[in-house]
Amino acid sequence: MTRFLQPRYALPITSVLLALFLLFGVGSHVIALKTGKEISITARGYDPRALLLGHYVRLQPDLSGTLSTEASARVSEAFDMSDQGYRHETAWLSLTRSEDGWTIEDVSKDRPAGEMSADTALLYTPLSLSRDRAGEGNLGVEAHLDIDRFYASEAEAKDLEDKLRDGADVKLLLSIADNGQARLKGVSVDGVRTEISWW
Amino acid sequence: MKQSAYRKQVESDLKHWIERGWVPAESRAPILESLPQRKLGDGRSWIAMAGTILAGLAIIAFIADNWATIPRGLKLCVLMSAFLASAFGAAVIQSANKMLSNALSLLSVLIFSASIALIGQAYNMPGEPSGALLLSAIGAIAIGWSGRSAAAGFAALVFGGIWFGMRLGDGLAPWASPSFWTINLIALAAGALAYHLRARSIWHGVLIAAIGLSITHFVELSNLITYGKISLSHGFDGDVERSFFSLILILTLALWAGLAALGYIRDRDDQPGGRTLAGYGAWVALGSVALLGIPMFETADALHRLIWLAASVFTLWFGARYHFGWVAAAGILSLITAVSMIFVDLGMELSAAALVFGLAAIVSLIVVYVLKKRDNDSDGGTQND
Repeated sequence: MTRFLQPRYALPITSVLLALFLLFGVGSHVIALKTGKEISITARGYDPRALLLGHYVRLQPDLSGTLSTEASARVSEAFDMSDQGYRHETAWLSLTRSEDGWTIEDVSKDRPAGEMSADTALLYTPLSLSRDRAGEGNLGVEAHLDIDRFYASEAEAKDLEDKLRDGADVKLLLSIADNGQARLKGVSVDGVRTEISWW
Repeated sequence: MKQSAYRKQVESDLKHWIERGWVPAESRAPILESLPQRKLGDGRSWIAMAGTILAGLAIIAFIADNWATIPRGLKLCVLMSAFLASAFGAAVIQSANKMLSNALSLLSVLIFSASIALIGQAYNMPGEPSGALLLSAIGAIAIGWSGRSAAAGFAALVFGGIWFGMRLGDGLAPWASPSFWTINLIALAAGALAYHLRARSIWHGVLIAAIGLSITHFVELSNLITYGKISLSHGFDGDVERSFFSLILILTLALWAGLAALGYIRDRDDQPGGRTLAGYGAWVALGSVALLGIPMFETADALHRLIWLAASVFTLWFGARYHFGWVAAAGILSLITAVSMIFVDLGMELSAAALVFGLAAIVSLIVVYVLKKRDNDSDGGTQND
């Protein structure tokens, strides 16, 4: 047994375990991308002067909206916003697919019960809730997803930069796992998809 | 003590012992022959290590130049192959050439760390850079222990240090963070590796890490005692704030003064690492004494300055007496700083400054005279015996 503690044996065993750990991380990530629910969100917040930093493009998903009056009252009570105009939380977002893309329907502290259909999705994310200046009206919701860049080769990044400047329809493809975590699956430019895969 | 320094010391001592007739002149040669010879290396190991690093850099530069055109899967294969090849190489060569094995182990750590970042980019994986650093530190200490590599162990401390700096900026709540406790375990493992390998480089790194970690623990402990919680998200004010900082500094002072004493004992008993421990202990302990003046009451300023002066003089004397260079240096710097601070307290009046300098000089001369007299008495007693 003690001979396996000698560097001749211990170092290969350790290095193989570390390599397997990295491979497991990549494997579980790619499987999560493949098996998660895909949604596409419009990219925004890019600055044409700082689009290309190294080999990645700075993009942010624009996932925001205004809740209905009924949902605003429910969320305001659930998050104790009676005397606050702004609140930062980590919560569940209920999303619905519409003609304009995915929109926010509701916000809740706990995961909503019930089955998801093809046109609904649940996202667990940091978000901000804000009321209008008068302190009345419906609540605005903005998701703060931890996704702000897309790594690509230099040529791909420059191509994407040009298309963004030309006002192309750029969308971020997100894969949402069962636990609500969103991962960047790829980008779509005018319907042309670039996805992250094993190879 | 290094072998070369020991030989030089014995050569010098023998000269005096022979002059005094304690050792016959003809014994000089056999005694010196019994000591390890000063060997001149042929530099092969160093050249081999430099060659290994250059080869690694050449491969890295070539891959980096073509990185953008390499498919993701191939990137993964290249990185894993390079990592495993360097680690296996280090393992195979370890018994024959420890220095080359050490270099290969370090190379494998660097490739592992780079792999985390590059694979993360290639697959657009989520996560913070600090998480990659923590993982790098864990990998480095695992490789350091598996390959008995001082360089890999040191790299673990560097990764851990950068992680610590990044997370402090992010509002780290140390005792509530499992990652912080992981860094503590890594520092402990690095300390054990330093002891096992008798590696000075890691020992210095471990002590620097221990300074940061011990202060962090004392901040949390003082926070818990003073404010009843471990989060730092509260305002400081008045006496409570003073108690908070005083407790941190007193605990730090006690720990590092104790470690300095432990270092002295280890050195006295010819245990490794004692002198280094004493040096770091003296610097941190005197630093704590100096900083204790900041949160104290104004009425206690005079008492603090007296304690500071006394601690500085004692440290200087102790360092000089037992030939602990860094301890003596800490004493000198602390003494100069304390005297300067007293000038500031007195409003920089030159006459008052002259009085302080004069008193300090008289006290120093008296101490030197007493010590010299004690030494002479001791020598006389020994000779009479």
